Amino acid sequence: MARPISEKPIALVTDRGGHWQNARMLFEQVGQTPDWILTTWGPEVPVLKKSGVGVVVLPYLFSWLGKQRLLNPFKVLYQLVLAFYWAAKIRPYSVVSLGATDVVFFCYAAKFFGAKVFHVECMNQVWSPSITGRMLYPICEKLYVQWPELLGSYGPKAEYGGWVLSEVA
Amino acid sequence: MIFVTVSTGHFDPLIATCCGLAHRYRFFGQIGSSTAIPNFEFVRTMTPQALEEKMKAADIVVSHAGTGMLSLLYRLKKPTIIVPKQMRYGEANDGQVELAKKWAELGMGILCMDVEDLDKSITAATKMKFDYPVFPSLGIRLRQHLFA
Repeated sequence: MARPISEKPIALVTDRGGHWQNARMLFEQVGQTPDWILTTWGPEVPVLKKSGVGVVVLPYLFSWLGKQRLLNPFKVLYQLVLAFYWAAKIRPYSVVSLGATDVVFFCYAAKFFGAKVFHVECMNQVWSPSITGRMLYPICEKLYVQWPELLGSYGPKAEYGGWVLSEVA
Repeated sequence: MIFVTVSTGHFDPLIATCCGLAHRYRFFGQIGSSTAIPNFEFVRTMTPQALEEKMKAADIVVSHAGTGMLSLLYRLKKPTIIVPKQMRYGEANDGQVELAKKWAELGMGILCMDVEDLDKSITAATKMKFDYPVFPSLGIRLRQHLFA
């Protein structure tokens, strides 16, 4: 059963795999489940859909030609439309982005509708900023890096906030 | 037992190297979509619970440098050899290399950039004292701003 949406809805937008793992751990630390999760298709999606959280599956922006990854203009257009549709419907108060390029359109669409956007660079980005981080920095309230070495690549809105994984079993 | 895990993707050079060492070490493989068929016990995919149990049971884990996998190994404090997937091994990019190097720099694993060095890395892993530093919680910082 879907749970009631909070007064200040939080949307998490992320990609499958390691990005999703990072996002899940981040929200464990936050101590709250997001009201909406927007993600690309992965084995986590059917489980999420049963959890009562609003789940939106975004299409990948890329297609594979053999071992070559190419930006697919049809998927780009489709995702752009979806991003504005869902941003208008959800009207998130805050958006937390932790993901690959697939999250960018939704963040811009949500910003258009007044949301505060927070981007968290994935743990993989130690010395080099991600393309997603560079695309989202202009619209972010804050951009969090997980390694202090990365701060020099961004401006004053970037902060080192520690790790999404802080507990040792 | 040495647990070799490559997640859902492929990592044929690593699996092939383990095959060459299987007469000396007891491997168990989670090989994803690799096309190399191991000469040791293996599965293609595992549930998160089964993966964690197999990691706990292993003496050493040989893992690619995916964030999910390394995070789990950090939580379990498991001796780890990190072999990042790289373009020269058929990956689309070298996105795992930075994290693999950083992980090793902090003493949380042994970096193995070349699968040919796996044997040496296994020997090193049996002697090394691994370190697991604790970091601040990013979520606590984020929470202060989410509803402000």
